[in-house]
Amino acid sequence: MFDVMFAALGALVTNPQTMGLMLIAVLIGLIVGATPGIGGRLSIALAIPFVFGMDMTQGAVFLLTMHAVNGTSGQISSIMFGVPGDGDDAATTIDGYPMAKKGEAGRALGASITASGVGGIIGAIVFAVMIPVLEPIVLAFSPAEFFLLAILGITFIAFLAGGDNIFKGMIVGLFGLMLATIGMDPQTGTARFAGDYLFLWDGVSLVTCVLALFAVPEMITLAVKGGSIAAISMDGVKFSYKQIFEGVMEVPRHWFLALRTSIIGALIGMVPGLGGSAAAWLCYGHAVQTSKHPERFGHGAVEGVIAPETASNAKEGGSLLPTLFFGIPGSSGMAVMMGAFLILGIQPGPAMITKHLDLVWTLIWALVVGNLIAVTFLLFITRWVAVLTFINATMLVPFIVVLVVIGAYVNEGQWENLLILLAMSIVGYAMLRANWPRAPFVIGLVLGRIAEESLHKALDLWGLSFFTRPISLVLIGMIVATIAYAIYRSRKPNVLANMQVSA
Amino acid sequence: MTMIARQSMTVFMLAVFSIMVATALTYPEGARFMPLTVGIPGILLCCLQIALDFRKTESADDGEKDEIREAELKAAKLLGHDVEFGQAQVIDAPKDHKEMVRREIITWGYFLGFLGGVLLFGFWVAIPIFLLSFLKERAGASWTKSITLTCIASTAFYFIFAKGLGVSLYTGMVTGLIMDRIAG
Repeated sequence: MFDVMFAALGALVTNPQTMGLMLIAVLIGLIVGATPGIGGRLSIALAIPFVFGMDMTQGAVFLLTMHAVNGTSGQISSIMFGVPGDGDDAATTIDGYPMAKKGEAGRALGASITASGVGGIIGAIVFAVMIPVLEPIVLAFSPAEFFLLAILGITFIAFLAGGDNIFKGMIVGLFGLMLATIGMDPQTGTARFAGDYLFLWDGVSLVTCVLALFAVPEMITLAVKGGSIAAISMDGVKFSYKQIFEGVMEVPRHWFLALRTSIIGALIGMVPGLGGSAAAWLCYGHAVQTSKHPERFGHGAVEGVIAPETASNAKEGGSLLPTLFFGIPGSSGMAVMMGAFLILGIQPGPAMITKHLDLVWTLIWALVVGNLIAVTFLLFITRWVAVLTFINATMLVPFIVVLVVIGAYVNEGQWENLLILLAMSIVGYAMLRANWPRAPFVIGLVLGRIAEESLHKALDLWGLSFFTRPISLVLIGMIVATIAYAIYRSRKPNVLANMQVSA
Repeated sequence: MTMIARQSMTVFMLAVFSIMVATALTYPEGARFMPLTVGIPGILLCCLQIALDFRKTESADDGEKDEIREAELKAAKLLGHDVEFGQAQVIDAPKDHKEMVRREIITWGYFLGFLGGVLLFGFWVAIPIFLLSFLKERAGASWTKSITLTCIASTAFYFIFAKGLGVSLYTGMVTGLIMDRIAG
């Protein structure tokens, strides 16, 4: 294994084209992370058209690096102005903002950026350590179990939405699976739901659907509601590089906390359904509980910045594990990422260990190297990146819409895809307005074909007794338990309020 | 959110599943297996969701979440004292619901207009017109800023896609006809 590990590192860092792409990905990821209104999910969806024609490894490295460093710059507005960009950043705000108000913005930013980078690297290491542990489990799955894995993936992602939304999430997931059946049936050659429309014979375009469901509704919302922070005076949050360096040194000073919260974050990331902001909040709580002076928290304790930042970035490494080996994305961002991987020709599942271990290691190294580059960049350019927070988001909308429409067309070069883009955008916007989760749709659409093939294969081999195979029973048990737990949670909202996560 | 608005999404999903299941019944056995395996549970779940929507009272309505307020409450619960985040002042926020609906219609109009423009006249005609009109009218930028940004972005898109990636973008139905006529 070590030869594959180091060969992957060598191949990554000695390839100028890949390293160039990583640099671009880091820059885009940092800019997107700090810009209001463009989340990690959206940035992956928008980047998909650009990786067409790219080599499988380079495309995956580009997208993963961009996604991994997204959160590193996301906390700038939460620390400097007390305005968290998303759920992950909210926990950082509790102590980061009071630090900035006390004139320690530089120290808080230095600590958070370094903690984020350290978290990302430890998350990747935890993932790497888990490979030999999980190998026998992954290999125990036959391709036939993929149907149940697809249903389990949809259930987990549906669970992310929280409460009674699990039914809505499952409906959306099944809607995705249903749309995946459009096109030529692999068994009989029948053109299902396609009529005489030849462009539908190959199925519905995944890229078009992802862009329609995630990018267009977000852009319409941004244009309707506005989304930027009004220009706040930066006079009160001036800082020097000396202050930033002091913040950087806080992480080695609290190395044991950083290590613990990174490991917790990575492990949480591995549990599909627990993604979102759970890692940051749980680790913030852990820092409070294990501190000798918990009364300092909420008033500018640097540990309150380090803990959530390490955790929220470490979970990215963790969530890559179920995504790559089981085809179950650990978060909604990873759901879109998985769609992108499939477009690049990366098929999640046991083959990732048996045939593509080099690619797995390349992705792990990409997380490590990407985070190192991001931290180095950001420590020097934080003050300029902070200005992005003030960008009038409405001005960004037309440019992103143009990218979306080009992306939908470039995908297959068929104008009919623009009609699908329009139809699915209306569905996506309706889902957004009605508070319906959209991530399960991607899983359904992505896994649809694989699930169908595996179901036919399983039934051919074992008939209906396939459902009573030990692994099948375990998977069915997990699906039932997740649904039961979601129902329990929706009936007892107060008991588990703290575990509520954002999809 | 009213009951009708809440249920419309479920009803839409129910209609999709029902139509697809009904259509699938006309296919050969092997071809209809998956659509039925997915569609029938889909129909059942939609029915269950409709029942849940009926049970839900207006007061328990799931309106828009104030994420910052929620985070403040969560932090206060963890620490045992009040925590206050900064006050974000959103640029260009709609004043009331009526204004929001008006903006929704206008924004969708822009999107539809752009798609229509691409289909009729192609990307290279539709992109600058869409960018200029949106920036000037919707984003409220000055003429100078709108024209400058439109020129820079259109040129950038051209060089990235047409020259850099070698992508041949759609030229549009009308433009295509005109080009054919000119070509003879």
